[in-house]
This record gives sequence, structure tokens and C-alpha cells, in this order.
Amino acid sequence: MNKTFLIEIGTEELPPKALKKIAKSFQTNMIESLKKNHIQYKKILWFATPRRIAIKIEKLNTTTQIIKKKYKGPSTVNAFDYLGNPTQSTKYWMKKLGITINQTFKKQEKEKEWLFYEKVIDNQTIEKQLIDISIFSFKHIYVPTFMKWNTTNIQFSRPIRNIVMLLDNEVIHTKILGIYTNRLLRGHIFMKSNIKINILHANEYPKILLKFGKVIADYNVRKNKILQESKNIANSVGGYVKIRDPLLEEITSLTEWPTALLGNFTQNFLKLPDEILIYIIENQQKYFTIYDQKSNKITNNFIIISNIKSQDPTNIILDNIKVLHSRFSDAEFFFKKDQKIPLKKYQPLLKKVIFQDSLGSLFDKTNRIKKLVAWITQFTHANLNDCIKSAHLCKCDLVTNMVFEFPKLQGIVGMYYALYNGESQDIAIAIKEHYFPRFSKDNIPINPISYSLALADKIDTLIGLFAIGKNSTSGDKDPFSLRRLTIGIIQIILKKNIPIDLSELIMQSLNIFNNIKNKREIFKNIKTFFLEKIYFMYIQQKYTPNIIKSILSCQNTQLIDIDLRIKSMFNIYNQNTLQSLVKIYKRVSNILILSKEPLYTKINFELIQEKEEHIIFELLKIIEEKIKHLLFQKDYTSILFELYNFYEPICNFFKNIKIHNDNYSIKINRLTMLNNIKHLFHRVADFSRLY
Amino acid sequence: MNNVKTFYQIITILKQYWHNQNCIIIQPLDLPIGAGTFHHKTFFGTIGPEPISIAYVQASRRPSDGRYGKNPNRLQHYYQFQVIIKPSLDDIQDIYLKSLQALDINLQTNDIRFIEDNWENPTLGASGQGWEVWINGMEITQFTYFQQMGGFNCDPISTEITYGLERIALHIQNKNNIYDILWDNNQKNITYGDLFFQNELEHSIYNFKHSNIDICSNLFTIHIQEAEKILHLPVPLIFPAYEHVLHGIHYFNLLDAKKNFSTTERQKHILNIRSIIKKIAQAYYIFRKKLNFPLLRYN
Repeated sequence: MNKTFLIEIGTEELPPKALKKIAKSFQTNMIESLKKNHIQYKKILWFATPRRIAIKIEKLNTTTQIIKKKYKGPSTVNAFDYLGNPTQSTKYWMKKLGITINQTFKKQEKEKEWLFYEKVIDNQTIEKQLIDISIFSFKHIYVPTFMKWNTTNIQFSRPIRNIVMLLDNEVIHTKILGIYTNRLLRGHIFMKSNIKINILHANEYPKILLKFGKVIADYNVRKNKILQESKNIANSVGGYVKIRDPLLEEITSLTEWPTALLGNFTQNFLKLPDEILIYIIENQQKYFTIYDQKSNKITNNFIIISNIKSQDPTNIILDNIKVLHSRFSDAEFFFKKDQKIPLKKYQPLLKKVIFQDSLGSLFDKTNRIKKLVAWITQFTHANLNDCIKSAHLCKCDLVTNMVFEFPKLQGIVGMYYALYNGESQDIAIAIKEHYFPRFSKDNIPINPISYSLALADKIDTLIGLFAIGKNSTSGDKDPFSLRRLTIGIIQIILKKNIPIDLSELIMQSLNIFNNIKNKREIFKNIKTFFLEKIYFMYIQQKYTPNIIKSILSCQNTQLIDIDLRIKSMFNIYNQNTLQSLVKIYKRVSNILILSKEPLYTKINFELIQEKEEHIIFELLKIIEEKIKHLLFQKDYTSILFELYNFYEPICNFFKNIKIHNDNYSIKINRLTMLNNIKHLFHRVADFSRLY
Repeated sequence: MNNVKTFYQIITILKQYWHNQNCIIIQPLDLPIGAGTFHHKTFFGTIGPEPISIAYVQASRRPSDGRYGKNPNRLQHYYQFQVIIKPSLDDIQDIYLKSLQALDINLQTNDIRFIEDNWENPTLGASGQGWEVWINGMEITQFTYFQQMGGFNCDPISTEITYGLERIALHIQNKNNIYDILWDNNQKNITYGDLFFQNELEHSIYNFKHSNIDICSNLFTIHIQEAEKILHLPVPLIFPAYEHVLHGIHYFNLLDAKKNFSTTERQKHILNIRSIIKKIAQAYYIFRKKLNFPLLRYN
């Protein structure tokens, strides 16, 4: 029989940033658990509001199932003695299970026949199974934080206050998670004064909640309602909205009956920097900003998403405006207070802010960045004076009132203050962008000053953290964002095409620190860490692991060069060229490994006898010369094609000539020639990693 | 104007409401503290198994929040109405919402929200899960299920409800500025500003400009040392020790307002306070245990 199952867990307001994950994880666990219990169904749906999560399963097969468990005994050969009586081991097995020989049966499995016993464990009712599945699925929900709320030891993200459990029109009566199940759904806490709605049939969910409870249980319906109403409102005042998805999700998770309302604040506050306005409007107050359709600038209109549809929303709007004004005037207060002093005057205050344990203050860090960025400019060709000036200013905003109040605006505040103090656009931007990229897919710093400074700051932090042993990134934890920093550095170097050698960069930065002892060890660890990150970056871009390894094992730390080589190798990978190259390399290499004799430093022309040898010798001279030029141009694809010219001659060589010769010198000369070829291969990659 | 609830009436209604909910109404702690949570009734009351249901108004000081009387809703000295109930009640959220109705706040025409805010006070070794309650975008209450206090896991759990009285008055009286809030109307219409503006202005100036770092620093050390000393007497003086720590925390906050800390120094002070707070909590727990938790008889 096909029935509908509904479970709704009523809670106090769940954490909005986790709501969707919580509900979906409940669903995932249900799916898994139903599968494990061999229960068939047509469709499984999840619902989530701030005050409930629910699962509805449609067309669930409720036919009672018989669960059997099979026990395997000895093989029939060992189970009985020559008289056909059970052996000791069989008796022991039967005793353990408490059965007689009549309850067993024989069955062929793979090559042997075995003794089996099948026990009917339980023909559990579907109700009992659904209770177990629900409890299991609930207890394994992904929850970011746990809490207790009463004397039972049950823990969840927020207190559980109600549980509805229905199979079609019947309540599955039980007590789970400290609550007796029932059929009373709770309506909107304010619009319906928390009324209890009698749900008669599981199929009525979520419609009945909408009709009588003023609750839109369907998450995506709410999300679309918010989006649509917001667009309409923005449009009505000649504006548009740019809604970030995380904010939209958060607001969807905060409301059961979202209603968009238009508010507007005093024009005067538009003098505050955009980022600060947006931060307050969106992050602190959870409104949407409205931009002007023509000028694309922020307007003084904004959208409030209220959780109720009020008869008279005027008050809601006015109150929200009031709060926004008070927030803005606070920011304005800090802004004015900070700007009484020029940004550079904040620098001495950085002495009081410790960067990390024994790594000195932020003032010390600033001085290190200054030295390092000066060295970096030779590769980025950024203006040296501007770089030093921006390094000098880049951490100053950290001790301003504004960043103290809005820590996420570090850099941005510095940029505005720098502009206010009459610094150049480039320097101001560098102050902001030296933190970029802050997260995956974040922007890379744009101008040369920005990325020079970003490199210096990041490598300094990375080295500092390694030096004080905070380099553990075991498991998922990366408390000091080492991975992000490292990938940031790699991305900047590659995307901005900076011909800087990573080893030199690390070394340079290490030498600027004057209180680090075991520099050699730290250098080694950081280099290894970088190589691992580079490896994983290319793996993520779907490059073949062997190719990446063959390049990285060359001890090359020029990132641009590494990138070119990996891409060239990958280019010829699909044309079978690479396979041919690997084939000849392997033959050459194997021969060389076998011979232990010292080789000559130069090929001796006099000792060349055979035609095949001559061909290779001539070819080697030409290709060596070509490769020398191509290496200079870093044209690795062409180099690989040059190497491919060896394919035929070397095949012929091995086919027709024995390396071994009675004349020892001839043999060594041949090996020397092959060794020179091998070295040519190594100019691109360690081919031994490719087979 | 006569039917608008004054600040005085808001307090009276809340006291009456929670009295009717079986709370004991007590008076504020006579020391400078940052929040109602620091009152010894809340701090000690949430430790151990004994029940508690108490409510009071508490004057609170947060030196860094001073705005020279210029911000419409931020103060360095303000009033909280604090409710602490253990064990937590199943319908506590509902009881709270009814208290808003008792203040004539219309739940159907205002947008009331529970915004996740997991509270934590590192100096008190306290943490809890809960919400800021917003009314039309403005925070008016902190609602928390305490999970830890003084380093102890709370068992049973207490619910703490802290009303921001000025914020509620702003809403109820429909004012844009705290200083315009009507405090009482029995003689003339006396406003919050009439009573406290000068106080706010002078304290802001003092906190940010004239407080002496060396004096504050010394006072901090003296109070913490004194707390240590009397806590280690053969019969520890738990309450006086706790009060000295509260003094210490106030001087710490004054130093913080001047941003006179490096990050590590600040952390060091916090850890210092926390470690002594834990000892005080422990001493209290042991003391009550020796008495066999006498208040359990009311369960």
C-alpha cells in the first residue's frame, strides 16, 4: 500500500545560516535510512522555516516487511563426519545460535557448499520502522552548534517544542526527542498568534499551513517571493537590487511569511563610503540596497523584509529607518573621529598590536613588508617609492575606531582614509587590495603596487606562522588560513605573470626576520607546502597527476615556468606524442641504469662507427642547439616536438646496434651519447615519473 | 501624552509581570558592571542544581560605548531589565512574548524576530545559545539559554532574558532619540535627557580622554590581587572576592575604551580574570554542595 508520511519538528528559531543545511541533511539521512531498510517510495521532500523542519515522503510502500538475517556456518565438507553426523565445530556453531540441525540448510556459495541458518528477526510494522528511521535521521543531522534546553540530555541546534508525525491520516504515536508526537502544526507565531492547526492527512502538508497558519513552509517558494517582491519594489523607485545569495538565503531562513517593504534614509548619509553603507545595510541590518538604474550608484532607498504582513506597516518602516539612522550616525562618529588624524600617524600605534606570539608587533611586520616589497619590485616593475609608501600605510587602519567597530572593512577603511589624506589612487587601492584574494574566487589585486604588496604581506605571514610552528593544516582545519594564503600567492604570481622564483622569495623573506633560528628547516617545510598546494591546484584543474609530478620533481620553483611546462606536456599528451617520448626515454634510461661505469664528459667523434650512431650524433648536435634557443623562449611545446625527432633514430639504434662492444671505449661513448639525450629530456620534465 | 508608557511605567510593568510569573523581584547590584549577567544573583544563581527565578533592573556600564551624548541610541551607562530562571521552562519563549504584550507592544503589527546570537563572555567563563530579539530592526532583548557559567556546564539550564529598557522605551514612546524618552510624567514631563545627558557627556569625556591609564592599571591589579587573597583564606570569602573581580573588570573596560591594550596584553588580562572567576565559581559550588544545596527544597 502506498501512503504519505510526514514528520515535522517544531523548534524555536533555528540558526539562519545553517537552516537549509540542517533540513537537507535531515532529508539525506532519511533517504539513506529508507534505502538501508529497503523501503520504497516515489518522492521525498524537505521543508524548512525558522521554526520547523519537515520531511514528507510520498507514495511510500507500507507493506510489512519480513527482515531475515543469514548466518553462515562451516562448509559442508567440514560440517559432517564420515557418518554424516555434525562435527564439533558444527555443534559449537549451532549451540552459539541456539538451533538444531533441522533448522539449517545447505547452499552453494562461490566454489563451496556451506551450512546456513536464516533467522526471521522481526516483521516490524512500518510505523515502528518509520519511528526508528526518523530518530536515526534526526540524530545524525549536521548541526553547527549544539545546546541543551531542559533536563533531558537531548541536544540540538535549538530547543525542540513540537513533533508532528503522520502516516496518511493516522498519527504515529510515540515519544521521541522528549516530545509526544501529535497532529497539531503551529501557525505563524505572530500573524496567527501561534495557533495550533489540526492536520488531518499528511497530504495536506504544506498547504494547510499556508492556508490556516500563514506559514510558507516551502523554502524555495519563500526565497522566490523575497526576490520577486524586492525586484518589484526596487523597480517602482527607478532602481534595482544586487542581492547576494548568502544574504537572500539568510533572510529566507529568518522568515515564515516574508513581506518586502520600502524604506529610505536621510540623503546625507550617502556621504559615507559605499562599502560602509552596504556593510551596515546588508550585514548588520539584513536589508537590501537599492541602486539607481541610471547612475548605478547606491540610493537612499532600501528594502526591509518583514516576517509578517502587517495591517499597518508604517510603523515597521519608520522604526527600521530609525535604527538604520542610528547605525549610520555611529559610523559617521567613528569616521569623523578617525579622520582628525592622518592615516600615517596611526603607524606608531601598531607597535601595541601584536601580530603573532613572538613575531613582534604589526609595526615590525610593516617594516618587514617594506623591505620585502622593495625586493619584489624588480620582478613586478612597480614603482618603488609608491610600494614602500603603501607598505607603510597598509596596516594603519587596523588601529582606527572604524575597523575596531567593523573588522571586516579592514583595508577598505584604509583606502578611504588614504584618499582623504590626498594619497594617490594607486596607493589607496593597494591598501585595500593587499588583502586580496581573501577567499576562493575572490579578485586578484589589480595594479602592480597592489600585487607587489599582497605578495610581500602574504609571504611574511606564511613564514612567520611556519616559524612559530602554527603550520598545522591537518584534516579540515586551517585555523590560520595557511592554505588560502599560499594559494593566494600562487594565483597572484601566475595571473600577473611575475617571473619570480618562489625559493628566492621565501629565502628573501626568511632573511628579513631576525629572530628566526632554524631557517633551513623552515625553508624546506614551506617549499614542500607550496609544492603540495601547486600539485593540488593542477589536480583540481584536471591535469594528469603524473605530468604534474614529472614537472614538480625537477626542483624548479619558477611558477610561470612550471605552468608553461605542465601545459605543454598536456598539449602533447593527447596526441600520443608524449607516449612515444616516454617510450624512448624509458629505453634510454633503463640502459643507463644498468651500466655502472663512469661516462665521458664529451662524446668522442672518433669512436662513432655505425650509421645509426652517426645519425643520432648529428641529430643530437642540431637538436641541442635548437633546444638551447627554445629554452630561452620557454617554448616547451616546440622542445617536446624536437625531442620527438629522436623517436625513429633511437628505435633504429636499439634495433640494429648492441650497446655492448668488445671495445670498451666504444661502449662508453655510446652510453655517453644516450646520457646526453636523457639530459635533454630532463630540461623539460623528469620523464621517469611518467611510467 | 498621558497614555504613553513612561520609562518608569515600563519598569513597573515588567516587575509586576515577572512577579506574577513567580519571580522574586530584587534590587540592582551597587557596583559598576557591564550587564545584568554580572549581578551575583545571576552569576552564582546559574551555577549548580538549585532553582532560581529572579528579576531586577540593573544599571550597566560599557565605557567604550560612550558617544558624548550624540548617538540616538548608544550609551555608556544604561539600564537593563534582567530575568533569570532555572530550570528553564518549556514555554519560556511564549511567556517572554506575553511580557511584550503586557507593555502594549502589538505582536501583529510589529515585526518581531529572533536573530541568532550565541552569547559568550570570556571573562565570566560563560556561554549560551540564543537570540537577539529585534523589533522592527532594533534589538530590544537578549534571550539566552546558558550552557556554561564560571567554567561549569550548566545543569539544569537557565534561561536569561535581558531587556534593553531604553530601546524598548524608544519603540513604545515612538522617539528617535534616547534623550527624548519620557522618564516620568508625575510632575512635569521629565525626560531621560533631563536626568542623564550631562552624566553621559562627562563620562564619555572621562572614559576616552581623562581616565588615567596608570591608575586604572594599578586598580585592576589591586582588585584582582585582593580577590585572590581573600579567596585563599582558610574560609574563602566568595562574595567579596567576586565583587573585587567586578571592580577589576570595570577598570579593564576603562583601559579597553582607551584602546590601551596590545592584543596579547588584552588576552592576558582576560585569561587572568577568567581563571580567578573559575576559582570563585568552584568555591561557591563546593560551599553550596556542603550545605546540600538547600534551595532544592523548593523544587
